[in-house]
Amino acid sequence: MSNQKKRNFQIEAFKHRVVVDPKYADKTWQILERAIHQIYNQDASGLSFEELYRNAYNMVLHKFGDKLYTGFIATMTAHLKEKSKLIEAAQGGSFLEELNKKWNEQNKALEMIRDILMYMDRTYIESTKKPHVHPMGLSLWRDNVVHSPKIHTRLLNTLLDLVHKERTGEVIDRGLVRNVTKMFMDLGESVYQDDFEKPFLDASSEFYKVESQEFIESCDCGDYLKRAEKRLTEEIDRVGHYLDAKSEDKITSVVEKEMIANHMQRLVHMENSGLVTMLLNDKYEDLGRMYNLFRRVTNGLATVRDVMTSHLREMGKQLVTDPEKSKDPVEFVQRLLDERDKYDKIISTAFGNDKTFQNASNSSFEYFINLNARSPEFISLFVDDKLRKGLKGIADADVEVVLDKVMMLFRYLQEKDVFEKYYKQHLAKRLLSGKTVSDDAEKSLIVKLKTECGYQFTSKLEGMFTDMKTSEDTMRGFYGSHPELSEGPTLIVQVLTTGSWPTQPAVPCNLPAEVSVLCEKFRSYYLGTHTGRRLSWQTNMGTADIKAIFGKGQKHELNVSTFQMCVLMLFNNSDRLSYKEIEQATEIPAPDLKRCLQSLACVKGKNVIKKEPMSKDIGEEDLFCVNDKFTSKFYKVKIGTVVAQKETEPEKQETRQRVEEDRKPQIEAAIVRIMKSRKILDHNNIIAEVTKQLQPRFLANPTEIKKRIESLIERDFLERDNTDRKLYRYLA
Amino acid sequence: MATDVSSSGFAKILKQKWHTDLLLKAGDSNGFAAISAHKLVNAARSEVFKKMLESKATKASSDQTLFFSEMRHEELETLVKFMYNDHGLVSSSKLKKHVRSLYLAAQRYEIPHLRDLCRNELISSLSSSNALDELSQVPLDKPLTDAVLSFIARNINTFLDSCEFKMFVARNPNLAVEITKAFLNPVMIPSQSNMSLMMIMMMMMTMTTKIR
Repeated sequence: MSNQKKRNFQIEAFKHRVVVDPKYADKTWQILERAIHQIYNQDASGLSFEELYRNAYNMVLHKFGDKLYTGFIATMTAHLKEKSKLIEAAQGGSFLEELNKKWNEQNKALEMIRDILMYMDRTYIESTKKPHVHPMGLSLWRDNVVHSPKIHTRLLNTLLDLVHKERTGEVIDRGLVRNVTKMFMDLGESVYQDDFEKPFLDASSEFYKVESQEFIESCDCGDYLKRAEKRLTEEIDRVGHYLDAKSEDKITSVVEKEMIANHMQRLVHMENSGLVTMLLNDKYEDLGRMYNLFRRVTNGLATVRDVMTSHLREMGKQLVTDPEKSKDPVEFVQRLLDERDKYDKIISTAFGNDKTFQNASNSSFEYFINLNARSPEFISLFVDDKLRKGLKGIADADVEVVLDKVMMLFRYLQEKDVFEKYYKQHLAKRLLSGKTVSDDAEKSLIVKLKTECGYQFTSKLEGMFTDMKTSEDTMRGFYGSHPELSEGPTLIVQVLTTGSWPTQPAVPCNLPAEVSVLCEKFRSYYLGTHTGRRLSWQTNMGTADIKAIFGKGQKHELNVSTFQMCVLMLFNNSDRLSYKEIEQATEIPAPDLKRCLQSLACVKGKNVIKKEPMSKDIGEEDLFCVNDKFTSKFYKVKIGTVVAQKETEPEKQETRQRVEEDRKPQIEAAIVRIMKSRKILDHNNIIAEVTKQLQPRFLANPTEIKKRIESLIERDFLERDNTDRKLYRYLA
Repeated sequence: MATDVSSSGFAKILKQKWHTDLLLKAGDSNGFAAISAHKLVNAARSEVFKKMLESKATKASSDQTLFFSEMRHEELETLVKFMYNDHGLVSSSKLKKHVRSLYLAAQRYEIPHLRDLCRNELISSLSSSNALDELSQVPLDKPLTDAVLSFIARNINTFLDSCEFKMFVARNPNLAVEITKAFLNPVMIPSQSNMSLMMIMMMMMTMTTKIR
């Protein structure tokens, strides 16, 4: 008994009480084996499912599941080896067909066998955790056929060969290939990937490497891109027809890499057909294609964007620094607007309104517009031209479009305060000469500027409009209270508030008697109603309409400047006058007088005065008389010189100087504001903060900021720290 | 439990023999008429039936016939009634009477619901007299086996004294071990049962020695 204790009890599998004849199991298995043979030989029609099912069931029931399972595997393996030989023997084109045919047969057979062995599948296999019948069948196929050494490589090569043929233009049997790739997928994703997909991708990579090299040597950029696109579409199509969907991304990556990524630089920079050429020639289709292809690869779009940016900057720089182009400001600005429109269109049509491209374009424009220091002046002149005559007869909506475009250019300016100065000047001239096309357009632009720059920018401008309006009312009042003046010359006065209008020195001049009397009357009227104010006549800004009768009786109405009026009126009393006499009588300063006489005597078609000698310049010894032979088609002749023009060099210098002067207090105000809140700040930080604050108006010069700091220190607004020279402190 | 369900749903169609296309015969059907049924309903209830019915090419003229040689007519009838029952139920009297063969049929033909029904019936009718028989029956699925084992284990005392048990152990040493395992596993063993355990072990050893 003690011996028994050491013996291990072994748990054996259940044994049925009823002992089954072992021969019974063999007999049953033979029946099933025969049936499997018949199934593989396409001879299954006579078989009874019931009977076979029952046989398999009984085997499992009586614990012969092992025998059944191993028998099934052995039988199937034997058949598959046979089939494998048949497939190997197939010649040429029929190899793939044979494989496909046998694969279909195998699937049918496997299904039937699985049905027969269903009970075993659900019980014996479940408990022994062996592979189920169907997956087992697939593995057997895989091991004995697909991975059989004679078939494995040949199959792969056949498939790759077909793909290659199709790529070179031949037609292949796509359905057949699809069945084979589907077979790979059925055998397992790793089988598909290892036995087909990876080699396929490698072969494709080689193929496209070669092809792209060929193309790039022989095609221009646009052509190459067309071909690349075509290949890409083809490959996607190929996947749809006979590859697994998961391969799509992988194959497109291959094409993208070989055809695009590897040749990116060369394509973009190609002579006479690359990006720059496309941009210059508005090749929207080519540009769009390039965009769509390049966005698929890393840094593709960045490359395109960079080339576009450098081209734009280069071109813009040439445009603004070319002296030829700067001759006519209106044309200059129009050119800028055209370029802006061009790139807008390119970005919206070909680049899908891509924000990064828009930003690149904007920064380029900003860069080169500011390379020309006269850009603010020119833009103002452009606006002036439009508001004077360019917008005549154009619908309101279109007017808005033009003004919006101008605003766009305005935003690019770094020196917005320069623009403001010029704009004020030009506006003043427009208002005073009554030469604006549309009040609404003017007001609309002011509103836009206010939205962009804030109230301070436009408050003075608005003041100018107010003055004009008020003056109308004043005039009405004046003539209302002096009815006797309705006979005789009509005086129209615009009273300008000094702060709002561009400062002009008051130029003295002797007005003709008729006029000066009226002026005095007005002065007393005005000061009567507005005590505490001072009026000074701006004779350099006025205009006059004079009726003139010439020698042969020609009657004309001349529209002239105030100075010109003074000069002309002198000839009522004298026939001939010398320069000196005119100068003395009118007291007009020499440069203005010379210009005035030039416009009266030397301009063809407007020479109401004759000059001796007939030279172009006004000399101090010249003599003048009325040109009795003066003719003109029109009754009304305009001779005024108040049109806004591009400034001459000296004038430009002057304006620039005034702008610099104006900037000083603004810089100081910014410094004080910043120091008041920060109390202590170091030099570099002050510079940075001040620049940032003033950026909406102009680009502050660090040297100038330094000077202003020094000045503020002198005036005890700030002090330097005793220990650290770079640190400043605010003094309350 | 539904009483007379033969008047509604599928059962109605069966009774009326409306468009039947299948004949079912049991092993002793020579004395009885074949049962008329519908391929569709039977295929729906059992995967195996479905395969059986689809693998044969239908001869258009006569109805297909299926033979169930291992079943008796009454059992087959009960089975068919189950297939047609809307709620998947069997009349309890019939169930009690034919539970064994229905259980086997459910196993063989993959009718899980029926198998569960039968199993529950078998479990609930376990007694000291039939438990050992049950255990040695075949085939048993795991839930049923476990249920029987734990029943025996719970009532081990009743078994230990019976000579039936001794004979059983002699003939089925492996089953005895299974009983021991079941006994040891689920519940805390009261001291009294320790003795019983010892007795089983001793009995087993004596028996095995005897056989040897």
